[in-house]
Amino acid sequence: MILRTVTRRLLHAIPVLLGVSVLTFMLLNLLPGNAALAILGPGASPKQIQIVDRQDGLTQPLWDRYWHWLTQALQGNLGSSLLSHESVASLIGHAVPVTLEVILVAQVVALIFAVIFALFAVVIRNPWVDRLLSLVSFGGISAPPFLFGILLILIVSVDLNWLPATGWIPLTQSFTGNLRTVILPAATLGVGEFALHTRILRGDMLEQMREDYVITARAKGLPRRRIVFVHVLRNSLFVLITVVGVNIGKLISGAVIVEVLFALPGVGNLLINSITQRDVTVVQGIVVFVAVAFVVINLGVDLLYSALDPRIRRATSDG
Amino acid sequence: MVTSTEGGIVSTINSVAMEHSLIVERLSVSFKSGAGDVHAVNDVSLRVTPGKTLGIVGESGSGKSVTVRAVMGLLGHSATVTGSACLDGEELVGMPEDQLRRRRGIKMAMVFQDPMSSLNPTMRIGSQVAEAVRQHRKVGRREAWSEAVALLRSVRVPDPERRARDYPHQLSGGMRQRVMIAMALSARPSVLFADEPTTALDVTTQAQILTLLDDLKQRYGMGVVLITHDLGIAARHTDDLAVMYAGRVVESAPTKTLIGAIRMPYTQALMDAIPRIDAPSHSPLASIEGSPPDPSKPILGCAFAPRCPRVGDRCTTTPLLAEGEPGHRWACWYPLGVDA
Ligand SMILES: Nc1ncnc2c1ncn2[C@@H]1O[C@H](COP(=O)(O)OP(=O)(O)OP(=O)(O)O)[C@@H](O)[C@H]1O
Ligand code: SF4
Ligand SMILES: [Mg+2]
Repeated sequence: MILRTVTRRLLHAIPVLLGVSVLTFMLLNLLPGNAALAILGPGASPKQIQIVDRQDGLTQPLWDRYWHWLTQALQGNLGSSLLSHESVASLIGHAVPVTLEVILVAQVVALIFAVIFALFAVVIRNPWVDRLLSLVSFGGISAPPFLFGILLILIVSVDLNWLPATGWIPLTQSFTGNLRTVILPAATLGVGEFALHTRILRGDMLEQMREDYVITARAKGLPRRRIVFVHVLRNSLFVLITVVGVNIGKLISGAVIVEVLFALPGVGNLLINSITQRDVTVVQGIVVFVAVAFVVINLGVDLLYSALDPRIRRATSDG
Repeated sequence: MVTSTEGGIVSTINSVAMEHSLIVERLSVSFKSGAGDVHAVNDVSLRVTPGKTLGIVGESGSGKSVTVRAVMGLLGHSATVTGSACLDGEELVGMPEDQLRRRRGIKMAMVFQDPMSSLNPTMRIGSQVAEAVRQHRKVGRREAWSEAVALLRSVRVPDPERRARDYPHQLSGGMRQRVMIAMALSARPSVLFADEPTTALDVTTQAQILTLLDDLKQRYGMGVVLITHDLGIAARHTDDLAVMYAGRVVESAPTKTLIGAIRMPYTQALMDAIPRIDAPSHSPLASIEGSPPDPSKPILGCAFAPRCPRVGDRCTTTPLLAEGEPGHRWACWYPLGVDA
């Protein structure tokens, strides 16, 4: 049954992925300048540029180039960088762990804090706590993340000199070093998530508190705290999971900004560098890779949701 | 029965306490709202006897649910409750929430109208019953679970060991209501409030649930308050009746007496609105013409006057509930079958 859901979802994703790849191909073609210029420098003559272009196959018609790229990509070959000639797959492979770690840490920590804050607000039931919380979440949701990142760099790195402002130490090299480099980027990326999750969780919990089953729980003589923690929180977390799923796109685009801001060797930075250098094969590879990752993560969230929620579990096993 | 005067007083108090487990006296409930206060319940007095069923009958909005929720202390902060509700000798009105909470489930329990929304959809029904067990007695998880299974068996859920592991949506409406009853019975309360427990069920299941409640009431000697808007159900399954209209009790008596000699025109209208047994189970309810008064507006005279076929001159002043015949009270200037 789950297999059928997965297959159906993946089949639906095919036209989307094709569309994304065609679109990026065309858009990249419209960009002024090219990789040859980046390699040869601004003083290159048109003749020299044409020679390099021909080596790269860039003089062939757009459609032929796309077809060539697609058949290669379907065999798992995303080509190689026009500049470094390193394979696109290995470039992405090196960058992915960085991006993944930042996103994961940001998301997990944001969720933990959101649950704590929302629980606090619902249990305390104080209008001032509510007001403060809605101010914080409003700020967190509406302020652009890089603003918060710059603030963090200015205060924590420049002023206090507690954590490095830029750079990355991989987990395989040093745990504390890795921790020191991941904190600020993850905080920058996570603050918006935290604000959004807190607001949604608190709102949904207050809504759940008005449900009939809560009256039943009260009629049983359960203390309010148990009702909030055991009954209401549990049911509101299902809502939160779907919100996390919907928000993955925003998280990925946020990661690009954060990686540039903190100069992290992640996929986002790789993408931006490749765009400025007109390294079209790399850009194309990254865009398709991210699109696939997006589809897969979304599917994962949905599967997780249906595995956890008994109501859905029934629905999928019935039909 | 008693000889000395002193002993007489004591024994009278005792016999009152023995006779009734719950005594509600002049209970009123109003809700604060933007457009004036809503007076949902006015001066309601009720008595519940162990081992007997008190029926509260009335149209939608007559204040039945608010009355019993006020007794249980389940109304929100916007409700103001005055009067008295004495359960096993303890005053519940004004009791601090924490103490009230310790009496919920143990001394008084409740079964609601819609057993689907009244159960937590994401929790196994066995856990929900076991949770009630553990709330009232210090027992381990496994013991609570087997107790829950036993409770499910006692309300005649077939194959309770397996059913306990189900989620609410996997059960039929009737089974869900049995689960609610099992949960309510977990601590053997003195009073069980059943707020329209069969309205959401089909006719056959209705009868089964009501019979089950009758059996349990007898077996455990608990007092049951059965809320319904079907006077037919009330006639078959209650010992005493209170008819409510616009937040007031307008007629009350032992069920046999009341059904045998309806005095209040509103009760008669309810009688005429009883759904026919042979009608399809989900056909719209026959109803009384007109609609009840808006509880946020003051009422002058008898609240039923605009809809009453017997309305007369005196009806512009409010009729008070008074004993017209032994044990039979009504609030009407021109009662049926009584020559004025
Ligand atoms: N929380 C509340 N705030 C304001 N008004 C309320 C509230 N709860 C109930 N009421 C009002 O009190 C009146 C009585 O409601 P109640 O639920 O007791 O009726 P009922 O007799 O149980 O009807 P039903 O058969 O529909 O269950 C209604 O007019 C309702 O609008
Ligand atoms: S008092 Fe008058 S209006 Fe009210 S029920 Fe009796 S006859 Fe009808
Ligand atoms: Mg009701």
